[in-house]
Amino acid sequence: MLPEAFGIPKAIPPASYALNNKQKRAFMGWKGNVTASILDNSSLTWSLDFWQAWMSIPNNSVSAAIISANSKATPSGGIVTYGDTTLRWAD
Amino acid sequence: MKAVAFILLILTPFLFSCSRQPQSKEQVLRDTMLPLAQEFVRRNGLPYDGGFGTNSIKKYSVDFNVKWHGFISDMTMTNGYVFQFWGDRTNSEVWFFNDGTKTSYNLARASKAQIEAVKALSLRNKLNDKSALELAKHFFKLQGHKEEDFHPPEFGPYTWGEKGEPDYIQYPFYMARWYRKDANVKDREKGIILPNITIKVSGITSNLVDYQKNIMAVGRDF
Repeated sequence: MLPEAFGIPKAIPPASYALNNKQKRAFMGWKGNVTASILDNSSLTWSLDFWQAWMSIPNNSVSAAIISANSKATPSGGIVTYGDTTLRWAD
Repeated sequence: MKAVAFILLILTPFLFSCSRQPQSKEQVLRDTMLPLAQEFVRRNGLPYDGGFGTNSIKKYSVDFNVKWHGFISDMTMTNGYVFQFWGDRTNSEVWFFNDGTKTSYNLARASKAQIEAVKALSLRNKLNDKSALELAKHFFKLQGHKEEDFHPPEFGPYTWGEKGEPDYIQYPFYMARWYRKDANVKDREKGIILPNITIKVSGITSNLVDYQKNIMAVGRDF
């Protein structure tokens, strides 16, 4: 529901992303109903590493930064990603 | 006594491997990352005159991973190439490569001169949809992937806008993505990143500009 509220389709195959979207956009969130208890240390570690990987490695995509963060921690809430996961910080 | 000696003899390699000191970050860079990057560049016919000595590395990082008994690392070269690597006890590989090429442009607030520059870039495209897909498949196979293990690729050129719109521009870059055969492609709608290989090619140089192996095992596709 939420990504579509921002105008981000839930799934974007590469070709249609290229044809139908003027501006790359992606949406990421915790899976399921998030409560304060889900935001534990692993979630914080994961978030920190995601942003570090996405912003500090040139041309890193959202999906690559997720893989990097997944190697450090497994957030108990789980992650969902919609939209264009090739999005770079530079975009 | 003989039996004890025999057991010790059998166990020696195991005991040595258990007591082996973990590698330093510098060792991973020298012994694993640099050779993998060199081999990747050679295999894909990528231009890089600078060589691959440590003096052509702009920055790198290595994180050892207890969960995998391995590492995940990245390396940025002075020419703009970016590699990401990972390794477990038995395998290591390049799972991400980008040559620094900008493959799409946000023209929302671009000046007329900037738009004209992008259009001029597009005129240098030597590929069409068919030849670009063939080229992407060529690089897909060069990395050791097999088409029969994946769904047919989703493929398209990078564009600004949609065909038929007055401001439509097709950029000279193409992207192909292969989802692994066991993945249910509809699961993307659940926000799950599925195992996939993503390849981008340049219509200007016919080079591989981006490679990603996402959510798959180290050193193998399954």
